[in-house]
Amino acid sequence: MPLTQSEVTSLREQVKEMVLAEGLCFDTLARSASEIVVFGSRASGLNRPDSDLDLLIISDRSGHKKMGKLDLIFVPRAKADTPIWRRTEIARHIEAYGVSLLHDDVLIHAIKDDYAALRKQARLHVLIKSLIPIWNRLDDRLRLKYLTRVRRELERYRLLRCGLAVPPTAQIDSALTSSNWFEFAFSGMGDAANITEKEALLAGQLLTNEARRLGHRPRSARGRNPQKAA
Amino acid sequence: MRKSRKIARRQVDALLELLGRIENELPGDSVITISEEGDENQIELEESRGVEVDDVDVVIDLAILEFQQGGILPKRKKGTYSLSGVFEAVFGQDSSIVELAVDLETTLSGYQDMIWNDEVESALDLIEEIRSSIEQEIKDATHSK
Repeated sequence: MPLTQSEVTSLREQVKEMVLAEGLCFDTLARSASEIVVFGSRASGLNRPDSDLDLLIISDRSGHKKMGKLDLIFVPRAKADTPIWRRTEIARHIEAYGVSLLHDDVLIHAIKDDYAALRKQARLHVLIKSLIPIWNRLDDRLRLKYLTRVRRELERYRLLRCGLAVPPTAQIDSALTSSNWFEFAFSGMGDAANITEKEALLAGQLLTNEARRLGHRPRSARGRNPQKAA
Repeated sequence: MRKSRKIARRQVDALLELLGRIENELPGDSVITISEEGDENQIELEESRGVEVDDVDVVIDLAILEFQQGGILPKRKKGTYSLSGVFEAVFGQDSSIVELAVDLETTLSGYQDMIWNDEVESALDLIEEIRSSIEQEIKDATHSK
């Protein structure tokens, strides 16, 4: 659900404070930028108090900088206008869920074709192909880490395949409320990871069994619903 | 005055090996092709991008796990070591090497699942800088004996 106007005003103040806390000046950032967008959990009010603040900054710079709780992604203006960037998962996410700090509406206009789903498919392919051969060497903590990653990426793929934007991770987790969610969470991997049906069946069974064995529960199913931002 | 810290040679060797393994994953294949066959509007995208985050992540996790299982790093009761956490365990939280390791960790986390080409270059530079700093740290430790 989109934030109300007063929640957006409160978010803008929160951003200024968090930027200042890392020794940066929001006004200086804003002067050199044509757009600054909050995205991720804070833009949807699904953040926890310790959640990062994700900012996309369209300016002359490029790169990724992490400072404390600030996660800054700089995209040059020329790149943000290219079809290849406007097709990405992040562009679609920002158009749907982002909150502009400089304008009434976000100035990102995503192109909604199969590109983002195909990118996700390529990612899942790499992930599954690299994980399965080494699975036995991982300890339970790492298995849980990668189970969670595969589960979330599969869900993101399904959404992108349906032409939808990917919501913040907290929202993906909170959608899994049924007690037998893992029965379907790792299904459909053949198409999603572009692997053979035999490989998909083996990987699906392995991950489902591991999720059950390790008692893997998404955040919402553990009874820790994400807090709505104040 | 800065406190001197006892640094175990085998831990340092393990860290250098970890850096080498990460380096081997960079730059990787710079060109990827995604194609969907059997579709009337066949989609083929080819571009120069960088390295998949997962390729590097798995290498780092496996190496750290090996070091823990081999007794090179102490096992943690809760959670796993991050890349910078391993450097912190060896050199202490005040070390400038840890700051560089945090920068490397951020660079390797990429965004949108990718370590983009410009980030790959930064990561390689950081790896070299960390190696030089480790060498200097060892020299300093040797001289202070």
